[in-house]
Formats: sequence, C-alpha cells, structure tokens
Amino acid sequence: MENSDSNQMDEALAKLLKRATDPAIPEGAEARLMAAIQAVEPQPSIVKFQPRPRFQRWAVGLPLAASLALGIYLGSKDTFDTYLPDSIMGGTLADTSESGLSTGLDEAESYAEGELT
Amino acid sequence: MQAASDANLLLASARRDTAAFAELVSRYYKPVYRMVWRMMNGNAETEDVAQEAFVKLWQNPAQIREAKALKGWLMRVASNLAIDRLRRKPHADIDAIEDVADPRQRTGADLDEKTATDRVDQAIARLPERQKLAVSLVYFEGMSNITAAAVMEISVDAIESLLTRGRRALKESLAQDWRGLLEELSSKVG
Repeated sequence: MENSDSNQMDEALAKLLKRATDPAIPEGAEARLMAAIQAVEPQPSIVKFQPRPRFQRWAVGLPLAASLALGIYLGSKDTFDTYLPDSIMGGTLADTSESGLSTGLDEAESYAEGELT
Repeated sequence: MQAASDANLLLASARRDTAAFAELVSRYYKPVYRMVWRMMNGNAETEDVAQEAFVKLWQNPAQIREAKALKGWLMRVASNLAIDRLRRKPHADIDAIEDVADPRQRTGADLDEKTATDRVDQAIARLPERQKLAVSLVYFEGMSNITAAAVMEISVDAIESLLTRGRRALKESLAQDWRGLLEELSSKVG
C-alpha cells in the first residue's frame, strides 16, 4: 500500500517536472561557439615522455644500501672484526694473536711464498 | 544522403575540419546547454560554460575513444565546468531564483501556468548539485539510470540513491503547492 502511494507520488512528480522551463538556446549561440573555436589552438594528442629525475632513484637506493650493509655487519657479529684495519681493531687483533687463534694471515703469507704445500 | 556518423565527424574534426565540428555542435549543443542551464539555475554564464565544453572537445577530438560516448563525455565535462563555476561564485545561482515570484504569495488551486513553472524551477534549483545533475540527466535528458551513472562516473546504486533523495526533496519542496500544481497540470492536459 505504502509502495503504491510512493509510486503514484513519483509518477505525479515526473508529470510535474514536465512543467519545468525548457530553456531556449540564445540566438546565435552556436555561431558564437564556431567563431570562438577559430581562435583555439589544438592541443597535441601525444604526451611527451619525461623520464623521472635520477636523484629519485638514489634517494631510494641509498637508505636501502645502508640498511643492507648494517644488516650484514650486525648479522656477522665478530666475524668481520679480523678483516678490519688495525687502526680500528688493533687491540682486538693483538688479543686474538696472543690467544693463539688463527687469523689466516700468517698462512696466507707462507702460502704466497710457496712454503706450504 | 546518409548523415555522417559521430565517429567520422570526430575524425574530421581532429583534422581541423570546422564543418564537421559544426555538425557535432548542431547535434549536441542543445542538450548540453539545457543541462548546464539547469545546473546553473538559468545563470547568464550558461552559454560560456556550454561553449567551454565544446572548445575542450575541439582542442583534442581524439581524446574521445568511442564515438558513442561523445554525448556522455560532453555532458560530464560541461557539468564539471558548471559545478566549478558555481563553487567559485557560490551565489551565482541566486539570480534565477530571485527573478521568479515568491511561492508563498499564491497557494492552492489558483496557480497559473507561469507560477506553476516557476515553482517547479525553484524546487529544482534548491536541490544539491549532485542530486540536481542526476535529476536533470534522467528526467530532462531522458537518460537511463545506467547511462546517467556513466556520465557522472558513479555506480548505478549511487545514482538511484541520488534520485531517491532528489525526488524526496522535490516532493517536500513542492508539498505546499502539490494539489494546485497537479490541478493546473490536469487542466492543461484536459
């Protein structure tokens, strides 16, 4: 019942909307439009390719590289300490040589001189 | 002679053929103008806005990939331009409303044709812009809900919601004169 009333109201509204003004096109409007386009330059339909600036790649790459290096360093714990220069790890190298741990450096020198088989 | 298709006219327009473009204008200017007029409540800038939509087409006709979408494209561009213009000048729509008679002055069945038309126009003018556009496309341009939804780039559900709210607002707006308007309408038909 309610739907039926609503539909009747919608139909009545559709009829009422037909009473709305049907605007007349101003005289000469199309001619003015055609005159206006004479002054308009066409826009190119091909969009020029513009590569992204290179610095943007570096901006992304640098923190990634730094993060990778830090991850390797932290993950390796003390493994790389022996490969670092004496100026940084002098004390550590001295300690390890005293404790008798093999760093591989002595063997490398001997190997280079042909003393090892 | 068979009339040229929109696709052929668009191709010719892309080659800067003004005669072909004039044919497109003659086909679509009126519905575009009518919709803009409705959106802008009869504002004097209606012609400028309708013209701007066609100028955008002339600048690059190749942007219409399917010729059958041309009318919808023009309607969408023109309605967006109209809304932009109204938002820049928020009181621009008052002009048309002030020109018509105060609806409180006459009520009931003594409405004449001009007053009835003014009241319907005023009720439409008071709708929010999205509801007004949906009502204009469906009721005045005879578009299906699906086509109107495509023009507005919204879902069919969304346009049905806009139409429902628009109809409700119109009924409320016209409630006071409802009986008189219908009587005026039936006397016109009779």
